[in-house]
Amino acid sequence: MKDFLIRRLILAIPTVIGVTMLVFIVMRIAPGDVAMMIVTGGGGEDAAALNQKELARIRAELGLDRPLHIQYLDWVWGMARLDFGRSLWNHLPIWDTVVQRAPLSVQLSLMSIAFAVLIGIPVGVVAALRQDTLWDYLGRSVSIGALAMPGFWLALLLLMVLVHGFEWSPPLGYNPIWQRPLDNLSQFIWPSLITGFSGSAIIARMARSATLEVMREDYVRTARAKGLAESIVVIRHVLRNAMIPVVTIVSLSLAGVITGSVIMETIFTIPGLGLLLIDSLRLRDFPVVMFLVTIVAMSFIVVNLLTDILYTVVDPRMRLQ
Amino acid sequence: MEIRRFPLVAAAGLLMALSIACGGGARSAAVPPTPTPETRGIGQERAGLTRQEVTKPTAQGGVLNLRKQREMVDFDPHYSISTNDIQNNMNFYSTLVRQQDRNPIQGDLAERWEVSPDGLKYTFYLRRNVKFHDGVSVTSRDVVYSLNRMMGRSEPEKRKSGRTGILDGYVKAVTAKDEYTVEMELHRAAVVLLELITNGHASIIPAGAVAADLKRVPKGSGPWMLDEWVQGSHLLYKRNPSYYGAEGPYLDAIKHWFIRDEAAYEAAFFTKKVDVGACLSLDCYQRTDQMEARGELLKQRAISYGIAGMGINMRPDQKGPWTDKRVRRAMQLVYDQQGNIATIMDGRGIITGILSSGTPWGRPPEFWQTKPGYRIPKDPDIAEAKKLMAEAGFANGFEMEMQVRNDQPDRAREAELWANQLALIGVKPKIILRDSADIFERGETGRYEVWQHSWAFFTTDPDELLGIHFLKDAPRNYFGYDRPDWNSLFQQMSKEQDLKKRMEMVQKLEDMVWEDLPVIPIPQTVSATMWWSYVKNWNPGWNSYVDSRKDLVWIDASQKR
Repeated sequence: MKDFLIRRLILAIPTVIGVTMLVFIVMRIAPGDVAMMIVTGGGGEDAAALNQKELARIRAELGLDRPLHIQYLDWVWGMARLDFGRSLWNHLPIWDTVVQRAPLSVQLSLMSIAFAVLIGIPVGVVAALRQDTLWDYLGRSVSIGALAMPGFWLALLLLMVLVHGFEWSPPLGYNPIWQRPLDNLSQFIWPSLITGFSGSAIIARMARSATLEVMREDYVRTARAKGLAESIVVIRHVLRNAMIPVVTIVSLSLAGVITGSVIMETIFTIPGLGLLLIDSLRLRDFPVVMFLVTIVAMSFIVVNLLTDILYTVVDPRMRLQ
Repeated sequence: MEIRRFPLVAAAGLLMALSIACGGGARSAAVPPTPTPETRGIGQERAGLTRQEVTKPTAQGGVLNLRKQREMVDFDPHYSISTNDIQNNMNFYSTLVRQQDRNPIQGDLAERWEVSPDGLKYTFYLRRNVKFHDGVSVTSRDVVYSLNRMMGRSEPEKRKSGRTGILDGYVKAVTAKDEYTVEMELHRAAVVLLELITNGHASIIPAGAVAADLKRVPKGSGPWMLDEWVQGSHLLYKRNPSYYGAEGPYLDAIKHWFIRDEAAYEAAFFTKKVDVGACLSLDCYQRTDQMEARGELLKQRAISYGIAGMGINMRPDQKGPWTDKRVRRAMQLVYDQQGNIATIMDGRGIITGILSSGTPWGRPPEFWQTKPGYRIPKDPDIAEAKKLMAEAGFANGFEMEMQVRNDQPDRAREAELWANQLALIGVKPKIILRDSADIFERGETGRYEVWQHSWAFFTTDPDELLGIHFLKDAPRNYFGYDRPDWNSLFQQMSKEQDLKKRMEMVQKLEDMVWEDLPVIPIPQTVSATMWWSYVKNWNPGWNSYVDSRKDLVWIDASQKR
């Protein structure tokens, strides 16, 4: 197992480098000049403030006047020393900002996954166990519906119903769960439910097909032939094996902490990493974007690794090699 | 439930919006009775603004909750030129003079001022009891430093403010006569001067403060002090206990919530999580119109004073067909202002000329309705446009690049409409979305062909409204407009004290621009700000850059449920 982990971690290095180089290049060739944006206040009009001397000064101050490869290597060297840099705009350490905002995105992601699992697995399994019955049709309809309805649309619809129907909207701002648990939950429950509902569709469909497949396996037939109770057959033999592909989907959702929360954070005003990423992209705040993208890339690598490890728990026949 | 009534509400609201669109501009065609600076801002009547009576509070305290769309960039009132920032910065800083809503300009840091008979010298006498938030007294040294900093004359920065840097064109020198007296000497008499320094970007900062000092904290003397800034969440201001104003601030605090999404903003307003709102959706307009009729909220409808339309690059180095006056006229003739109002603006707009019909200086919509290009049906104008194109040698049309800001969806929609209209005469604009900074840099350096935009404004005075865009070498003359007789008439108008004569000159200047069409105007939007009726003395202001201090605002808790 140790060898496996080391090998996988070594293989992850070129992936991370590739991703960061790609983002670095894309950010630099995309239209827009951060120095110009800083001079004009981000969204401000007027070029009266612009003069080449000032722009040059800002570019030099931000280190943007150096050759691209030097800028990139400098950034890599900083990351290696755990110096993640500062925002080009507010000059705050990026790490501090991310630490402040990450709990919100992580919570949103975890709650969404919890809802997705709690809805998706029972729906999928029941649909499979009651194949071609009303339960099956209902489960499949719900999951297709969840797939078909975009999350942002559901979120806006929900917001409208809450506001116009109940004269209520989620609390604003940053409400840590350990300080204001009720505010926190009433802020997070809705985006989590929507994201979870959308996510449950794939889980339900995967769980249904995997369960159906496993139920046709010889060992399930043998278990039934031995006279085991149906509940034991299902729980011990069917579900455990059927959950392997489901685990993959769930774990990949975990890695999407940032990418998956952008829309929900915007609509429900949750100042998490998704919102930070969007704002940073708009402002061409390269170091922040680079850092967040690196986190995303690394999350996927780590989660993939953990998923592989989790397979051995779910299915003892699997071994890490 | 409300939702079921939406179709009916929609119809009623649309009628109401159309009535604003068609009649709002004619509500008052009143012209300022006098051209003195004290009367600036009265054009709000035409813009449909209704001034709320200032009331004495029956109770003090409480927190006012407001929305902020984006994170603060910094607290530098001179260099941070984003509207997003200045509206917050105005809470922390003071100016020499201020103008609240439609009221006359009054003293702020200056308790009084004198103007020399020739209009070339302004002497400001400062209050003696004013302190910055750190307890240091505000003196003439700070005022001189701040004004020089705006004009790019202060060491070590020597950088002009993107907004109030235009003072440099008027002000010869600013000097401290003593600790509490400041003298401003002008190059030429300009009645717009006082109005220019009511602008939030003309705030007074401590002498010697530079951009780096204002990155994280404001250093002002205004009614509010920054108490807390939680990135991405909110800004919290607390009352300045040493505020020099005779009244206020009445509230304990103001909280600005960062709410990015418009739907979330509307939701927060309707559920009273924020006390002041604005509508973007038609649905919201209609719903709030009904609420306004029931007295649950107050609304202020406003028309932009800015110049909106398709700007044409007419610099001498430009060789494209758009430099031909006949082509520009053809493009103006095919453009359907009323169609724009009906489709893009959902009925909330008014037709306008070069100067916005929302200004006291602009002609009312009725004036324009009968002009070529504005008339309905448009068939004769389209036929005339085709004829002009043929005469100019472009019967088959041409292609051109139209730059549009990428962060303003309305601008993109307007550009799409332009593309459809221009197709009638074979003109095919290629719409290019650009960052604000990029687009303005291109505007200034002339690296564009045509540009769909609504240009900002800071005063109600034609000195700025016309001069800054069309005077030769003016800072925002992005079009390269240069007409000697226009320049000469403008100089006369700028110093004219007689209102009637000045108005005649302004109209003549507008007619000349209309003849040359460096900008082909599009209609002005009627936007609405609204606030719950328990919010008292709310002053939406007549533009985004003036007096957003909220020192007189109070909350009637008995009305707040």
